[in-house]
Amino acid sequence: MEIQEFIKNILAAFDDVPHLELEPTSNLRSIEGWNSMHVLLLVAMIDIEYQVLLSGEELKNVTTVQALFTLVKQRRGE
Amino acid sequence: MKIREIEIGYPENQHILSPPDFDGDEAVYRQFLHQVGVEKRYLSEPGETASDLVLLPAQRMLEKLPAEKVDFLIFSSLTLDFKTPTTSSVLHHKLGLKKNCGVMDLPFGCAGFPMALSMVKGLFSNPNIQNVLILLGEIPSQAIHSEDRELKFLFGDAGVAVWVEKEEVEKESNFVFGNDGEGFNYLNVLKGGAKFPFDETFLLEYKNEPQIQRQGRISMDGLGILKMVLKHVPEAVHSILETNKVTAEEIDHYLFHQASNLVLNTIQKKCNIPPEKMIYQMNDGGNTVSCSIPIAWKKAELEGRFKPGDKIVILGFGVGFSWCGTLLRYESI
Repeated sequence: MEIQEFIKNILAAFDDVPHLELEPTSNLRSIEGWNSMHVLLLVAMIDIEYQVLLSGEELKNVTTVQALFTLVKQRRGE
Repeated sequence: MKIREIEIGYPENQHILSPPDFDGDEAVYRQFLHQVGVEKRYLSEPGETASDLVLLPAQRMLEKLPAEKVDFLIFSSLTLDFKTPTTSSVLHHKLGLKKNCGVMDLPFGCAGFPMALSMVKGLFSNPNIQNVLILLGEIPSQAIHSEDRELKFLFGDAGVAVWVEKEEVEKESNFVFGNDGEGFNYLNVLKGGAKFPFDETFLLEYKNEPQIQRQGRISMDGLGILKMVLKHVPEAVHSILETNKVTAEEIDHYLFHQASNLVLNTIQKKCNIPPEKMIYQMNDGGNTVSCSIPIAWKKAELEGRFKPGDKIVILGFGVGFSWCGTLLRYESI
């Protein structure tokens, strides 16, 4: 699993945020217009693309794209 | 089993969503339209009941389906009028149905319509039953706090009447059912039943929310519900195809409970459904609980989306977490 592809998938899931650019260090909660729906969009994308169903508890401690990527990799046993 | 006619009856009071609903923030409003998909909701008056909402569509239906031909009445709603007798019994009397017409209430939530159809399938094994009237009424807006923005713009109220007719040769429609009790935590109205009756503390807490004092308050954990959807809906869709011996390619339309655009998009991607086969009808009316599938059916039909013989997967899911679905073939009248 590659971080660039992971970022591409997040951007596709957040197609309602105009001109969004993400780096591994980007803070997800700093995304313009971030709301509870974005958490749902992320959980759905990660389940569909990576077959990992994250809980709200797991997501609470995640701030950056890199941290989320690492969590998904861990859950996949990679 | 043929869906012969559907009549929709919305409350008169309309709420067209606009930026002022989102503190004047145009971007947040646009985001909501995109993610949730609701443009307009219809709202019942405080004190108006779900059974009130079904009366008008039921009366319109009885102009086409003579009352003496109705052999059974099913009322689907999460808000029944009385602890007893059944609301279907009260509606039977108000509508002047014949005395040998059976009645049943189905307080089942978002999967209420397919569940009612599964009951109809069983009833049709009785030679005396030829026509069933399914009435669906929901008033979720009256169980939502006036400041609960996450919920109040999602749900809307509605009443629907559906005439289901027995076919000369019944086509096979096998049903799929399921329940996951974990869902209890994610969507519920805890107060107002036998377990936790309304008490002084509750009534004081909601002294400025008279609708909640009557109906209790909906509590929803969106992420929890989404998890239930991801866990169970794809498998239920697969089971519907398998038990009806059809392939995904043979299906013309997928009509799911209209929970929100986000949930519908998630199911579409997870189940790999071609987007053009999905039915989206969130914009006019929002999530209307058990009314959502027949409303979406009727609107898709009016838009000319269904051709005779089309295979349509319907699947309701939600509070419980419970689900029920089947395969129907569209027959034009």
